[in-house]
Amino acid sequence: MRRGTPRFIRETLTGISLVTLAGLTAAFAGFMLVLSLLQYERNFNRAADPDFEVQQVFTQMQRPGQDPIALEGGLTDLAPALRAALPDIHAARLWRSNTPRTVQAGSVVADLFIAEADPAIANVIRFPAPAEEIHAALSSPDGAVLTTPASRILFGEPDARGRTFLFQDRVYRVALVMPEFPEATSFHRDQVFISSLGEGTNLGSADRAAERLSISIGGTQTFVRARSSDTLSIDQISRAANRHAEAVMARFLASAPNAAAASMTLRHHLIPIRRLESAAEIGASPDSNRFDAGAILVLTLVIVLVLMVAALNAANLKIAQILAKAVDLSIHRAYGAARTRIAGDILRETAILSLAAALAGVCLAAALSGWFSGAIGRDTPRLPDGPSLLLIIASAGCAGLVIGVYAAFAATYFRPARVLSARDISVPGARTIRTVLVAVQVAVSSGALVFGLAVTAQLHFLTGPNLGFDPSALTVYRMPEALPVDDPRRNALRSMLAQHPHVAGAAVVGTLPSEGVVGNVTVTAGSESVNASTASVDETYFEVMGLAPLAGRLLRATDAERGEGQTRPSRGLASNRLARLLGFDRPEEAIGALVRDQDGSAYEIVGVVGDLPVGRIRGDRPPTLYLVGGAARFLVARTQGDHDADDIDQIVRAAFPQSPIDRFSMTQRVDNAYLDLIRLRGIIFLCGTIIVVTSAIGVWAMALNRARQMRKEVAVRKSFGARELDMAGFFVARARLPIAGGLVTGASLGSIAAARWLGQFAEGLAFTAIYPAVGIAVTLLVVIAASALEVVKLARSRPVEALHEA
Amino acid sequence: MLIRLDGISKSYTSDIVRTHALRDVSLEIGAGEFVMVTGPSGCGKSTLMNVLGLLDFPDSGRIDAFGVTLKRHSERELTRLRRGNVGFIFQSFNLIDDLTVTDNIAMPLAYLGMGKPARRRRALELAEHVGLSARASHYPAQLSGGQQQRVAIARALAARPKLIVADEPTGNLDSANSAAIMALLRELTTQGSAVVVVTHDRELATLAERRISMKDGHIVDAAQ
Repeated sequence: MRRGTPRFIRETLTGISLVTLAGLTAAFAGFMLVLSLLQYERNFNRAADPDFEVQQVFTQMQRPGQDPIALEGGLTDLAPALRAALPDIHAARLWRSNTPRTVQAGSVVADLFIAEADPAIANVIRFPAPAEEIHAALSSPDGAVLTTPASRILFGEPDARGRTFLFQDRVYRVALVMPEFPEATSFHRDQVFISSLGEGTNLGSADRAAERLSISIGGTQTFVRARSSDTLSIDQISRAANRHAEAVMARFLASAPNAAAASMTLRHHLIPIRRLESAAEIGASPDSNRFDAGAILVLTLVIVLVLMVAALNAANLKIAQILAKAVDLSIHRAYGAARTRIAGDILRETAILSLAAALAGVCLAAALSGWFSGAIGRDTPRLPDGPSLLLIIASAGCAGLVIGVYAAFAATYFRPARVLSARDISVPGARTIRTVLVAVQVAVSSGALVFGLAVTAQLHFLTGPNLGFDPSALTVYRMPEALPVDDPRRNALRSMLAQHPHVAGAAVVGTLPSEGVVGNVTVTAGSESVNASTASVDETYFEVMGLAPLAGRLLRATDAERGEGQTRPSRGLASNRLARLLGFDRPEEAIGALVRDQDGSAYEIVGVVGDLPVGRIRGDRPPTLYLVGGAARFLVARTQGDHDADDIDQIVRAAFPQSPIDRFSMTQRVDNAYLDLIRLRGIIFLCGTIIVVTSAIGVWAMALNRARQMRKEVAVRKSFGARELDMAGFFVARARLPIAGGLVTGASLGSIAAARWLGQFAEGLAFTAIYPAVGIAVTLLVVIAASALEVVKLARSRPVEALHEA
Repeated sequence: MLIRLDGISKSYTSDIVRTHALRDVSLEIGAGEFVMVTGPSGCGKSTLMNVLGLLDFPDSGRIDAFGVTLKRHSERELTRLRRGNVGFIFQSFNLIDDLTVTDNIAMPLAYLGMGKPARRRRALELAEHVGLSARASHYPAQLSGGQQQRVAIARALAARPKLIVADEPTGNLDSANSAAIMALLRELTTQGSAVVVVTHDRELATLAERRISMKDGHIVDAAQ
């Protein structure tokens, strides 16, 4: 900057330069962190399937006249059926829990991720250990394979081969310890694979159910890999799977009474495990280890906006710097410097600046990667791979262009004669460009705020009291075995818990809002037929959940009893949605109604309760028929006051002395269900804050620049008697166009995005004007705060000094 | 008597150098006077003009201006006194680029609370007076240097001030334009305004009935 530039401008521009560069570096760091997430997603399961060969079978189930339901798990017996039908493929099954399960080794109790696996899984998925060893380990009914981290957690040593541990009342032997997968996969770092051949495994139970009922769907994941891609295509495998489904359905329809009512079509879809996100296209939930695709999209858009705002700030600064160097540049021009050379120098300078910021951003991102991984709950890579690096370089190039292109034009536009003699440094469009730059920043700020507010409000709605029940004091014990209706331990457990001073109520149930077994029935009342979920609960369940009936009464133990010759129907509760779908406009109308399922069993509706999640917290709340009885898998206790969890654990331990306590809190389950969105909310607000702060810097720079431009004018006006207030109003009048334009544009775009985002939730809030109103108000406050100092300084400036500088 | 300076001193400190711009200056300006202030560069002319125009306040001494004795530096009080009492003509014109000729001329009237139509009428009248009625809707960038200075003079006259302070008003003009501007300024005194002009040009200085010569912050000669 030339020596003739007033010192306060030099100092302030230097200050802004540093802040702007820091902002650009921070934006690139954020961009790099998001790229690391995309890199994580892009390379997901690469370690388990390096050659894009492994497919997971998803099942789409459709009843006539209803929307299809897509399941991550398919027919239980699909893998053996495929192996029999197509000798050229490897097929194997997995059953796994996406939440950690309690495992005990000696005195150590730990929560680890458990997967039951067929030995054949070794031939399908690439493990970080020889396939033969994996196969051999899982071929033993009590065999288990642990990752090194799991071995360390459970046994305190990296290789615990030969040691034993307890899971669900059964003893397993560590047959193999393998390193963790080198990159993100569907499996966890602390993963335990147990053999599916053992007694009491979920896969074993499913096999027995399949033998008994002819059909068993859900829970089992089937993976296939062709032995050679030359000999077998995906289509052939799909066709074989669908043929098996048709055969199973035919067997089922032939065997079940009134089975026609449950007539449904099963279709299998093979999804590459490297592209599990495409499962969403058939309506299935992709791998839970992956980040929510919508969340990634939102995050990417937000960080691109951050980068854009930072680049616009830098562009604004660069223009200011070029205008301040007009005399220097004109002297260069007067001595023969070519325009192309001047423009080239500026573009080169901004490209280098941008690349330097990008490099610094990559380093900063590497330093922050630990924090970021923790914040989003994924092991994202610390360093960029080739494609990510190329994208960063390309983005830096684009940012360099954005920063430098107009400044380069302005620099070549100066006419030495006019600048040096008349100090005329006017450049066409300079004011418009700078006004637009500020307007865009204000727009992005207000838009981001509107969207962020909508996200927060919606998440509060979803995770708050609108769940339908209060999860805050609910403690759940997963029992090591399913207790049938007549098992005396059910009542014993309940009565012992009821006597505990810190337990307000307890229930033993087969289904919870977050997990458990959910049945499907076609319920018919009159001419209405509804595909509904069934949930097995006990008579105290709704009291424990803190729910009163909307109409009628809650369940009683005797509601499970049937009369002589089954003339008296079972009694059940209908969810409000089920009652409405069955044609009862008001809950009271459903009381006493008789409904039938596809098997012809009749149920009398004795009460209607509010809609609750069933088996899965996040998602639609299905029409549900609640019945007393069924095998109980969970013990739910509503606690009160300060208490020691161990006291209650003792009661459960007394009932199952051989098993580790498997306890979780319902609040934790709710949080886990919305974890991605809750994390997204945090990150969106962090990005929103960065955007607002960056924009505030931009507004401050604009205010400073406007104040500089208006300094002489203000001095002249004050010479003629203008008051301080006149000057403040005068400044506001000049700045109102970009600010108001930015606010309105940003709030409108933010509102459209927020309305669309809110629209994708079946349950949730509608878009209201409060979001744009608050977004505009907050942005306006930030703008006022950012420019207030310069406005006050300008209004209070002494004309004699400004005139002297002019 | 419009303004009286009594024993005024003013100094500036920049980094390590202290500059005494005015040293014990006493001066009176009466209504209708046409005063030229001359002296070499750095002698304190501009500081004297700033003090006379109430843009600046001395470190010591006393100022009586427009019937008020100023005892302390108050920007608000100086602004209030300037309003309507003092008109300025700057060497570099200092017109506002975004305003037309009419709006530039009318600008001081806004701070007197005059309504827009009245301001416009007065501005057009002055534009005609300085020979720029055909350029009334032009912007400063569309005018020559002489025309711009005439706009500046019209602006200085707009509020019918009692004192007009002109700092090198012909510094950027050729001799023909300079003579025309000086004639215009002289004419203002006939309407009762005092005009104080700073100039380097000794020849122009001879046009005034009262000349003040300055050197090193002192008034060294005050000739009638």
